[in-house]
Amino acid sequence: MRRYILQRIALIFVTATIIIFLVFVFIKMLPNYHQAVLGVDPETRLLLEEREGYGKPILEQFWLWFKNIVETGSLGMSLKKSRDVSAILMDRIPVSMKLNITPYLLGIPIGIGLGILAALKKNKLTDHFVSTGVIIFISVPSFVVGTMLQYYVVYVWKWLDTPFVLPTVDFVVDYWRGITSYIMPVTVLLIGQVAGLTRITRAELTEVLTSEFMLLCRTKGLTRGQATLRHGLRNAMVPIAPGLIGGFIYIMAGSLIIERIFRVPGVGSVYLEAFQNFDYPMIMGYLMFFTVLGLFTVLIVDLSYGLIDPRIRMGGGKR
Amino acid sequence: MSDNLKKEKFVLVQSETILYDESIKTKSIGYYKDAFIRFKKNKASVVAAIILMSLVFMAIIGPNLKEYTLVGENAQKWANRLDYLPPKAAGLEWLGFDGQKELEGFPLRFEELPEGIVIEVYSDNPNAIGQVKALVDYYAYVDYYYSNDVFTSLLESEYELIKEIEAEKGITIITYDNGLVNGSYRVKLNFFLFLDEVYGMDNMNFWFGTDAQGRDLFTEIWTGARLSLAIAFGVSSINIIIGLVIGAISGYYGGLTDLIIERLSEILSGLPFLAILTLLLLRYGNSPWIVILAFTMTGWLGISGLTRSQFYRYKNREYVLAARTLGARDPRIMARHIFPSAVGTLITSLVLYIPSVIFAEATYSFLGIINYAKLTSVGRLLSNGQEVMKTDFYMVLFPAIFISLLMLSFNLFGNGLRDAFNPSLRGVE
Repeated sequence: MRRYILQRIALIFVTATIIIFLVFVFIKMLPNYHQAVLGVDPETRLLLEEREGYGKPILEQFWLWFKNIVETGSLGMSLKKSRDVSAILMDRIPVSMKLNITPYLLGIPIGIGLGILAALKKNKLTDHFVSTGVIIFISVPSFVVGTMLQYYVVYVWKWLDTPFVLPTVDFVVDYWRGITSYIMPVTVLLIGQVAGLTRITRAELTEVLTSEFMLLCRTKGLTRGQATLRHGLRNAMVPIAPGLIGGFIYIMAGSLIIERIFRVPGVGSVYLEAFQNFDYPMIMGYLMFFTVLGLFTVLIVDLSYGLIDPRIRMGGGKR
Repeated sequence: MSDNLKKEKFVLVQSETILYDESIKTKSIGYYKDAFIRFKKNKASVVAAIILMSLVFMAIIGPNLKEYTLVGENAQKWANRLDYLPPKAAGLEWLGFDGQKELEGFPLRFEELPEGIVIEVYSDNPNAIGQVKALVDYYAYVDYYYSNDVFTSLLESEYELIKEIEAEKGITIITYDNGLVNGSYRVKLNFFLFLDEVYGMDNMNFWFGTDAQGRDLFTEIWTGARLSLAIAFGVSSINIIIGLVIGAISGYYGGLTDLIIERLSEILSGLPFLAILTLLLLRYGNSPWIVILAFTMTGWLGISGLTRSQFYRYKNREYVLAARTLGARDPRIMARHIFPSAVGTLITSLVLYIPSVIFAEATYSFLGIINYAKLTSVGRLLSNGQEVMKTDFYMVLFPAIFISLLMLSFNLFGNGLRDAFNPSLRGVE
């Protein structure tokens, strides 16, 4: 087990290095990169050229860039914000996490609950109702849901006075107003989370409930509830739980859409800003963060499969 | 044999004619036919398929259905005067297609307007500087405004053309003539009449309204739909072909080939789509081809993985061995013997893949990451509409309805197909 985990972590480092190197090379190759990053001031230009190893082979530049991260924790200066990219990311990640954690925590019980309900009442009215809701909310893009919500809540029903999330300063002035401005983005995220989770829970649980051992459970005298919870749900959770565990890491990545619609000052919106301004170091920093996050999520998901279900053999050899 | 059974008592039932197998009376039902019968039973999917077909059909003919073209040097100027017109369609007024809009202004402004333009003034709740809201027939309002309140500069050619039409038909277009000023004619004219007579825009109804540049939203949506669908179908077919070929090779041959392809896939799958898209767009600029390229860089991975596992599953079956014994070569075995077994699974995953491409394209163009300079995309329309939704909600409503309907019908259709091809999965969702 330990050997397998170490192997996987080592492999992730190799993969991450290759991917980040690819991104690095590609960004350095952009036609207006040098001009944009170096700027016009000769003094900073010289400093940057030395720091980032201009004119040296690309591998050496990559090494320098890597060394800078390890030694100083610096990902380079953002062009527009005149701050270190890693400092900006550190500022913005908590904002995104704060927004994402509520729907994540609320979504799990609601989604699984609805999924169980639909699976137990399969092909009855409840199931049709839940399944219709699920297919609608899976299909309708979140930017549509978000926009509609903004229009009706703010402009038609006038429940809230602003369609956007309020900055932290406003919290001091009016705490209640600040908190309520978070309701809409949380709702949109929650809807997406619940719809996906309900769908997969219903699917997995339906499959388990129709298997032979469920009949055995009933014959040996368990009630329907006992059988479903202890035997059905536990087996159905095997493919679901790793995704949920992985999702916990993923709350650090801001949702680009939600942050744009509701103007949340998180990582997602900082990336969109960087993209529009051709802020290359910022783009590079975000993509690196995003890649590493994605790879780690995959790793956690894979490892938790083995932890949750001992039948899945870790690092099993050839099939 | 007992004695009381006499041999003479036995008669041959059949002695002269030869018996053949009876031909099968029922029609044979093939794989696809069987799937089709099952698909037809799923009413929701059939409805979704019909909606989907009509959306695709509209994407093909829609842009040409209600084109309005203003030609010439001043075309954009006239179009700009027709900006933010609310939806209006004859016969659908009760549904909100009435061409009315709420305006904000001082009460005096609405009192000055002639009868029939202002429908209702909400004078009970003026704002801080005394402005009130009023519901007006916006088309009539625009016509009145550009006919009476502002001067229009005409080119000499336009001026002469109008004069010609006026003389010919005996109507007045130019109501006030200020003569030639700095090379252009400063006049007041009946604006809609002018558009009608000079550009032939006799039916001034924009079904879905107009956008900030005075473009007809109805035409824009279907143009955007055309692009979305074209990209989605293009990306899917490229990914299918690449994925099938690579997956087949990797699954069929196994061993070292498989190992190398798997490791490469692993690295590629770690590359976030966002990174690929951003870098390609920054490097090569915004064009649909680049977007398609970005989607096909890693999009084939899922399909190739699926194909690979299907090939793994079927390649050691007896019928494959039989085919090989008979001398069939590898490509033939792959294409004619293994592939048909896997086709059901593949079809369903492909049908569900198309909407995900549409979804991603719409999302990234909504975010402004994909930003075609001259082409319209549904995501772009939505993001344009989102900025002005407080006053012009129709601009976000129609694209939103379109994209939701498209996604919904694609997903329902895909689910129906999956149930039809894999009956064992039916209702599992």
